[in-house]
Amino acid sequence: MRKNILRFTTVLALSLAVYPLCGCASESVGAAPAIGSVVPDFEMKDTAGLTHTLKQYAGKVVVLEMCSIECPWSRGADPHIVELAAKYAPDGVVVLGIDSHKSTTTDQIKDYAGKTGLTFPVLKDVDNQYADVLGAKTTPEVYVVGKDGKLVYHGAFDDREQPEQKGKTSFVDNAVAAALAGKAADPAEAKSWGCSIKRK
Amino acid sequence: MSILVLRACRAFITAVVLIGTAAGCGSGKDAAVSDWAPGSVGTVTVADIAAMVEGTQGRVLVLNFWATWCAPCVAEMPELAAFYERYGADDVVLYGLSLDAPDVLENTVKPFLKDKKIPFAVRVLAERDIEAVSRAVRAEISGALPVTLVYDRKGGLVRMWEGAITLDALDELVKPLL
Repeated sequence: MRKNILRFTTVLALSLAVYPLCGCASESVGAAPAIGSVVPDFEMKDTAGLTHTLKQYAGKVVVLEMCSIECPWSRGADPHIVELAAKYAPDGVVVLGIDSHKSTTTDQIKDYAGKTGLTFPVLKDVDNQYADVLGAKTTPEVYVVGKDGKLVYHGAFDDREQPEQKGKTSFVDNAVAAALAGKAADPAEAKSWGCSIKRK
Repeated sequence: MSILVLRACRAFITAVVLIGTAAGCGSGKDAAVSDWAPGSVGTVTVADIAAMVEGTQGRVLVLNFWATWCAPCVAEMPELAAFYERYGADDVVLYGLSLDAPDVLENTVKPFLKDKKIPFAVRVLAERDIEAVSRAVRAEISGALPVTLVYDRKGGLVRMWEGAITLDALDELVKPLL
């Protein structure tokens, strides 16, 4: 009987010890902002040394793409994001890439952008500070910010199943169109396969 | 003496499961698990993954989502192989779930696994819906690779490790569960 009680106590203690391990390895990463909440401001430099803040684009629809120069999913989406930027440029939509990887330098991003014909600025998120604020984990992971600074859409660029295969439905295109029309995006969230952000 | 009895029980249970499966009398769960033979490679549906997770209870389960195009995934493969070799398949089960395209199974995934001498079973996801995959593995995966899931013997998720994992980290996670 005493042995059974001891065994039960041991199992209970082990269970309690194991329970807190549930969750993500990236403990410092914040939770993603809720759809409809104000997207936190940032101050980051692009590869030309120009400083960008979210606040400076108040009144415009802004597309923020957590990107990577190495991740095939992110690279695969780049040409389609360039297309999106061109499509919505007349509407004043701002597209910004954000590179949060610890090992990627500004010069490497500049080189990649030149070779692949990126037409939108890529900002360097030093020490993945803004990725942590947004709770971003994946590249590509896109945030569409409405004219009022609130989050309209968060997630995959489109519904592609392979890195370089354009999806049938562009969630971001739909979200931008909805934001310009003052409507809610549908869907407002969609997960994406891709690469993890290499944090410091 | 008690060890001999335990071994005899284990052999008996294994024999019953194998005979039941071979005779077509095994449950769907047993059939699903028996398909994940060490070193085997193929495609998998979300339903198969759910059945595998359900059917693996009784052993510690480690699932690793990866792809050949994912540099950190490729880098951690030797660590996973070493982990598998260290623990065998009696108490711990390790499976790889690949996000490579099913149509590159023969010309990319299989040669990669052969070249790296990967000893554990690997399946390429034939269905990619992240929400459905999350439900199957009982974890809110983000979609970022690599990610490794560790389950206890009762099938409870103990840890979702996002990013590259090492042999030492796996040791620390798994040892308390044995």
